Amino acid sequence: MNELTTDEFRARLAGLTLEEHEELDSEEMLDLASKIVFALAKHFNRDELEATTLWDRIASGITTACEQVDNGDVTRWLDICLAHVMATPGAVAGDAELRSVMASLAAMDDQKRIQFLAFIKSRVYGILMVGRDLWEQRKGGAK
Amino acid sequence: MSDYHITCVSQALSPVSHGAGVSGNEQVIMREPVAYRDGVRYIPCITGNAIRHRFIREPLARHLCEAWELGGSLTVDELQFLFHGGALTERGSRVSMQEQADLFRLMPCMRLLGCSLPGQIVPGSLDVMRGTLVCAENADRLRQLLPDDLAGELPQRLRPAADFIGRYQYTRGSHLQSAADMGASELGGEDSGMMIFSGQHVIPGAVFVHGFVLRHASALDIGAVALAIRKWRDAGGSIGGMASKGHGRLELLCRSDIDIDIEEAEREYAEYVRAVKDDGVTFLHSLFLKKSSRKAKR
Repeated sequence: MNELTTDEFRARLAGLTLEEHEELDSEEMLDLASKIVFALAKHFNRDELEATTLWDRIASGITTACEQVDNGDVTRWLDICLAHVMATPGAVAGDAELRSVMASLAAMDDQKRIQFLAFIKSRVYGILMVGRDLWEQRKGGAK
Repeated sequence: MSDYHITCVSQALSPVSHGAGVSGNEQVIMREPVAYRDGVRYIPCITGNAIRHRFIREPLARHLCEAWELGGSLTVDELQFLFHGGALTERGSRVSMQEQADLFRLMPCMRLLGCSLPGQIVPGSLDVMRGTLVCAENADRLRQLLPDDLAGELPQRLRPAADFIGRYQYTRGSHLQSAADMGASELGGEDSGMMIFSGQHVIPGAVFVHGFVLRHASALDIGAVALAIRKWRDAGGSIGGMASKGHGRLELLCRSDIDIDIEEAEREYAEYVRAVKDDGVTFLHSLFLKKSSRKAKR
């Protein structure tokens, strides 16, 4: 039998520990995610895509981005989402609110970004609902 | 004879699919309710029953079959008895001390594991601990279950169990699949029979704590357990379902308070089983012959 020593046990536990900085406030994450959903709805290209597919398209964009990005690269993740709704580069570049969301994401460390994307991946429907609420409240000013 | 404790830590080397059933065509993993600070959580576990079977009973039954050259000569009842412990099949309960004495003498693994002879149930002397996932929800229990030096190594902030649950998805093909590839029109254009099946698993890297207690154990008992664990490991060392797809591989680390030479005990057990082969085979067949001959008389 392979000997169970404290050193061996400690080595097996290495990946099972939650780091101090890892816990993000779930309300904070939900708020950020809903702002991203709002931005995707705002930049959804209604000239190229059928307007009735708005929420399905956003959902599939988020899911696709989560599948493709597993290293916490939120810039790439957002890029895939925006490309999926065929956002216009000029409109995205001029979106101050989206830049503020990006700044919040950039301020996170790597572990928090990974945690944020994992949070979104596991709550796509919930995030869509909250994002849609935000959209319904503010869509007059967004269009 | 003394009681001995074996403490085990197993790390998943591949997804562990110890199932508790299916929901639709999705397999659901075995979980146990655990009282946690904010309510009851359902945490993946490995049942003691599964560990007992895969680690101990099955390897010892295989060893017995090989040592006694039983291949091709066993009845279904005998196979059921060796590999699954058997079942009461005779009416009315009875206790035959002679039968038990013969059983313990000729099949020491059954003294360890317990079994059901056709007419009486024989308790075993081996206790098997459930596989407890190393996670935040189990942290307090693990501190009680582990020896002090290992418990002291547990970090304050373990990950929650949810972090250790993953999902798999496979497709099951059929004859229609290859036919469709070759030209489905000849078969009337039927769709391929590909079916998706999916389920949950405990992810590789997750760690389970488990163990064994050998009560009133002799050197033969210790040898049997050591041989069983070695054979389990040599056979791939897996637990749960879908081993055919690479699931369930474990890396096992053990420590014990056994104070005799374990390798010597293992050799002693193997030699003993070989030495009692003729009497053992006769005894095994006689156990189940009684039942069938009684049926024939009726």
